Amino acid sequence: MASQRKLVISIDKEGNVTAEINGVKGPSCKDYEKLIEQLVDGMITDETLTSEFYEQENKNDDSTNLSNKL
Amino acid sequence: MSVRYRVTPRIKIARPKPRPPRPQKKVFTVSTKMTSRELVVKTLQKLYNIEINSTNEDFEVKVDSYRLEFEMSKDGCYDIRYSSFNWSKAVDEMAKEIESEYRGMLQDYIYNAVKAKAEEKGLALEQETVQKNQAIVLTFNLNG
Repeated sequence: MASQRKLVISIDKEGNVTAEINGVKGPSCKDYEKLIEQLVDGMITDETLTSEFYEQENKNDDSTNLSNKL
Repeated sequence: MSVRYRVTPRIKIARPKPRPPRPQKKVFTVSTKMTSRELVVKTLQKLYNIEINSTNEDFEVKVDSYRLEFEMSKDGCYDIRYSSFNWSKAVDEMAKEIESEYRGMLQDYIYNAVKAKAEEKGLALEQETVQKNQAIVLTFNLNG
């Protein structure tokens, strides 16, 4: 069963934006970078890898859905 | 024997009295972190109900008795410049007020832009919350 993949975008009072991809294991979470930049209309200037990045990727995750959004 | 007189006519050219130099106006600059002309204009409209007809990147407005020049600096942020005999606390406070309002509008602007773009891309907004620090958190479901 595919995990719940979520994009959490936080906009602080001064307009600073942080975005986090949850529920995507392995390096494929980086596939969402372009989507984030498009949503915020900006550029990613810094990244912090979470523990999920180092977990084994579930190959059953549906990645076709992402390509439709880019 | 001859006599020499020194005679001062009643009508004469007065010697100019030295006057103290007129104080010169100086240009003062308040640096800001504001980068978007569109948002600066909206901020000024909201705060002071000012219409700005110029479409130039740099522009001038009159707020109360002050003529403020908004000039884009080399680092991509607006400087607020004004001419005065002395540094003005009132303008300094005004600049802080403008920047503070701009920041509030910036959050709103980005929030609306993100939501519109997400909707355009068919992303489902699952949750929307406001944190204690007034940050807006949008959670999108990527499974759909």
